[in-house]
Amino acid sequence: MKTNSISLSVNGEDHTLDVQGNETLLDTVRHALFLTGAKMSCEEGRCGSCTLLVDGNAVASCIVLTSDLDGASVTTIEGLQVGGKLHPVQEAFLEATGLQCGYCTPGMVMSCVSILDKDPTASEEQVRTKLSGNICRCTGYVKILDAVRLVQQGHQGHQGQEARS
Amino acid sequence: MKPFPFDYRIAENVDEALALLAAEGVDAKLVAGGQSLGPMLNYHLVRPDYLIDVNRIAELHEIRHEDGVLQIGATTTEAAIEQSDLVRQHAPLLAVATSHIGFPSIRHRGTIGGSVSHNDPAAEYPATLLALDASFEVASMRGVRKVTATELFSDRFLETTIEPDEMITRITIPSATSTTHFGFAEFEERAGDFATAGVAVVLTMNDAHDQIVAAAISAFGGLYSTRFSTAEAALIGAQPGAEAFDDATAAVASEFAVGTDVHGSASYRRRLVRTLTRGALNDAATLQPAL
Amino acid sequence: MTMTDPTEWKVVGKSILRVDGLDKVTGNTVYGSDFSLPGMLTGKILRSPYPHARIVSIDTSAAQALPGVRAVLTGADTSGTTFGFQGVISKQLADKMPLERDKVRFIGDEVAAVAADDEHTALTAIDLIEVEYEELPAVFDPFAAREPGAPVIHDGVDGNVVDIFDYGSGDVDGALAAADVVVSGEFYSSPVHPVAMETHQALADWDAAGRLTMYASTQMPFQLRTHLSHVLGLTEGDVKIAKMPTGGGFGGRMEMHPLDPIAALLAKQTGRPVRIQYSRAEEFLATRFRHPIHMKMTLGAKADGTMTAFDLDMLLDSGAYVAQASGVARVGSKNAMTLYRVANTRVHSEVAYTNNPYASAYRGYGNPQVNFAHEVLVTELAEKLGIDEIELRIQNGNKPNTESYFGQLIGSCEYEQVLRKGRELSNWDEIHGKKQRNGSKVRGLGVASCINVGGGARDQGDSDSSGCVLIMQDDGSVTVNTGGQEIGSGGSTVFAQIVAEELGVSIDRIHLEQSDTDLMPWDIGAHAQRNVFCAGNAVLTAARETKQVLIEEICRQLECAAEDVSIHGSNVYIAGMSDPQATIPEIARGAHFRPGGQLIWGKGFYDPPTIKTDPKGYGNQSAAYSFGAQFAEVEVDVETGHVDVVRLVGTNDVGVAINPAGVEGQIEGGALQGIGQATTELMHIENGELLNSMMHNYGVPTALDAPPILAHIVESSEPTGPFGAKGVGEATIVPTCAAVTNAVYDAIGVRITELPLSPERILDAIDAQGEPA
Repeated sequence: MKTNSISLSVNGEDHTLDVQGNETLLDTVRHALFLTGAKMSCEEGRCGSCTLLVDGNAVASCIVLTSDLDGASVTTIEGLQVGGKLHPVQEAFLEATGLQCGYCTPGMVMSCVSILDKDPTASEEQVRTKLSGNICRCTGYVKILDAVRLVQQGHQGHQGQEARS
Repeated sequence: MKPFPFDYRIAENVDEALALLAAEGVDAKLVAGGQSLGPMLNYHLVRPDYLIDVNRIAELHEIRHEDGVLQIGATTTEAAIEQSDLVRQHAPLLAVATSHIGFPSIRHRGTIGGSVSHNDPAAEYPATLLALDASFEVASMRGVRKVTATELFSDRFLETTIEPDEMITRITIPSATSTTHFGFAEFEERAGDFATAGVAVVLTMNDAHDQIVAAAISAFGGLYSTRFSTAEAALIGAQPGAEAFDDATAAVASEFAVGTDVHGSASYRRRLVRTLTRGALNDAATLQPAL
Repeated sequence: MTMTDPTEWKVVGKSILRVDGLDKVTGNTVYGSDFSLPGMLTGKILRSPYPHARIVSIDTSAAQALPGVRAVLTGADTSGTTFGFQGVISKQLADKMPLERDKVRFIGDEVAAVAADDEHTALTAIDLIEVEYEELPAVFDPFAAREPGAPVIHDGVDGNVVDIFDYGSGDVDGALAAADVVVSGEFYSSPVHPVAMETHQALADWDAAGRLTMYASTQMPFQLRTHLSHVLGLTEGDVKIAKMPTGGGFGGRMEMHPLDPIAALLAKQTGRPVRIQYSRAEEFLATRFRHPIHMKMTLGAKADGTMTAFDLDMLLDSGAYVAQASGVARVGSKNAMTLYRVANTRVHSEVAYTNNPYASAYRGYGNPQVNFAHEVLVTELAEKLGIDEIELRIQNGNKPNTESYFGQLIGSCEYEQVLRKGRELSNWDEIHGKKQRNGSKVRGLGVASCINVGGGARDQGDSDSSGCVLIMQDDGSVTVNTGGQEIGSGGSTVFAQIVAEELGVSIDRIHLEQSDTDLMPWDIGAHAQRNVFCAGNAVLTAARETKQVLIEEICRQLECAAEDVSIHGSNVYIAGMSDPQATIPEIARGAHFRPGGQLIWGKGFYDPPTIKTDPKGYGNQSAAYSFGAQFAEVEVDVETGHVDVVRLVGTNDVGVAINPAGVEGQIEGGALQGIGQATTELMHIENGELLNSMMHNYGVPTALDAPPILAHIVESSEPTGPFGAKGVGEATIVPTCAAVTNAVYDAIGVRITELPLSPERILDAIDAQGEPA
């Protein structure tokens, strides 16, 4: 089958890829670019484990076909750190223990980043509503919401590092 | 699972999309945001040989208001509709209905044209557009025609009346006026799911806001999205309130075509739509047109 | 175990960050599903479309001929050896073949398998395999399955009852006759699925000498090694289980699933690594879930509130194979029999085969199901007695340092406190009984409590032990090689805390090996909330031995006496000298860079002082017991029937919480899984077919469905536990369904006896009652 030549910027790095028609963005990041943070779980865009940012918007990458994304800018969990420093949402997830098995975590973090970028003062109810596409089976969401609250309170997360030593 | 292989053609403009559609016919599917098609491809429920991407066509991503009419391009995303001041002002029911669609990642990609073409009986848009008396521009190599929402959906589910070589390019909605009231109610057992049932209502009042001049009631979550003419007729000339609403509510519940499935029995769903209709009508009686 | 002073603890008792957290939050963790080997092939399984049928013939020729197909296997290509998780207890309980040879017994049963270059080719090949089936009459109801004339699902099990037992003590009939109040009810607990976010996967790779490595996402690597080697005609030494980080266990990853031996057989046939990863639909229909149980339960009590009789008749629908049904039934019964101190107890339990998909272990393991019936009836009992239901529970509940009627040695026990504290935190007295109304919504508050093993569980072939080897490296860092598991719940962090506290090494200098069965000492596996208790004790023992060796070596190198040595951080001090005399790395290196050297290392093996439950239900099967309670506040919409859990308070007696955030996480996550079973989750199985096998139509609660959950740890100190800890992971899902059901009763006066509390069930119940209370 014919491929399409697609240019993508992924985590700030430009790529020109030969993309099969049936290749999803999740396939591309995991298998062409070896970024395995985003996960396959429900295969239908319902659970959010595959959430990535495309042009700043959270999307379910398992139901996005890469061939539609020529010129797009994609951010994965691997690209959240800047200069070796964790993103405040990542710091907060660590500090609040907003994770257990960790399988939903990359997608959950990406969704939280998107929510807070667009609406930094979202109420808990609004955050819960906007997170209804990210399913977690381990945490009951309690400490995930604690993490979001930490970010909103302007917490920088350095206490997290101190607690380790 | 990975979708079965297919060719992926990117249409640069509407003419190109129409030419591809005409050439590939029934083996081809149009794709915009892919939120309805994606799951079906992954689950191998559909196996098209060709996908025609219309998501890159700039002229289809727009929202305009002119001459008392709101026009929305078919590949406008649900997120854009939700955030649009024009939509909020001229078709507030659509803004409210949009906020109920799934969750943000769906709305960032899903398009109004995609949702309408897919016509899932549990989706918000077909029923909402029925209640808004929307009309649709349908294009093919043979020309452009206009269809009403009723003509488009016509008690179908998971398909519309458009031909395999046609595509929806524009959705047109008459603007709300100072006498337009609306209501929207849906019930989902779990947040972010398709609705078990939902109701959209548009009431046009007289200038004194004490008599109903025109009514539109539609429901989703049954076998197909549809209007309820008996219930609507019962409301014409009536004073908004419990007496008139009870009759309309009963008419909707009895006419609601619904089966029994994992979401519950037909009788339970009818009961639910009754409750939702009453809620939507009560909201319409009190809500002002502009949000 | 002598305990150090809790006020001096530096690390234990603190909510330190997860040691695996940084990898997880940056997407660096390599799960089984992320891992691949060069030359890896994709395996897929052909499943039966019929609930009960004879396999007449299988033609694989078209599949074999497809380019890119490397192997096609059917049951005829296997030895026909059967397996079953409790097969070591009884041969009858090993009733499943990796690929069935003669018969299929449920829609989804494994019939054939393909290994191919890619997924598309493998799936195309699967479609090309032609199977001729002779359909057989099927049975889907466990009651009907027991009737004479019902289709026989497994040869040799006439009447389809594969397990039957009676537990008891005292004189139940006499006690019921003499009781002042008797309550009784028939209950049904629904089939719900663990829905781990990572679907099951297996990656099999043989070396040239014929040794198998399985990269497995398992809770029990040694169990998997035993069952896998056995079904392949090998012995344990021929198989290495490399344990991968796992995206959720919940009991669903305790046992070997057919994909494990199938991947191994495909890899053997092709000479290449083979990965099988279940699709989400396969995960729902072909992996294990919670047994549906039909229960008839009767309780008797005296007017003063003393519970005098407990009578349970229950029937489990095992589905097509027995898996862990016999264990689930026993654990469910024993917990119910010992939740209260009741002198007269009778349990009659049967497990029946049906042609439904088959159930097995899921967090709680029988306890949630029986607890649902039990705690709903206790609430009714209290009402009929006119006694406050929390006081009634406390009155009859367990007390510290007592022996239960079934021989359990209850050590630490804060049952009373979990209930009293929960009463306070849930605002019980302000909300319960008030039926506050807000439009069409009525508010209610309900309670339920539980007991669960908290110090191991001796029920898997009599093994409950755990081993650990600890090695200090030349830079003073420590490698912990434990049989204990990290299955997501935070075990590895707790182990690190135990080592850090005991050895004085900082957390970031402790490295945990979650490796493979060649390297790890024995541990039966993560189940029954035993991980922290059993593996933690072994880790603690190993740390103590290591410390002893370290002190010895310090004394040897510095020529001093043990009592003069003190260690602060990396520095070693001798009494009387203000400067450090050596660093730990110097000591560690000096220990073996000399003739006659030694390593600074230690080992620990812990086996709880317990016995198996005997055929009458008697025996102290755990070294400690955990207690919990949940208080569920609901709003019932009497127009839509929707039950919205608006708040939940979970109180748990866990002994010492080594990592409080970790314990809270278990309470919060377990409670929400319980809320799911109570409200939005249900496997709709009709005529053997699972109708909802996707995330969009199986209702796992989302962040918006989830209520605020207040997790409160009631601390005690359990002398047998590491630093006083007991287990917690299961107790948090056990009482939820009853708590929600009791809350709905409080709100609208209808007592639901069948899960879930769906909107339609609520409306039907309101209608039947006449009018909402």
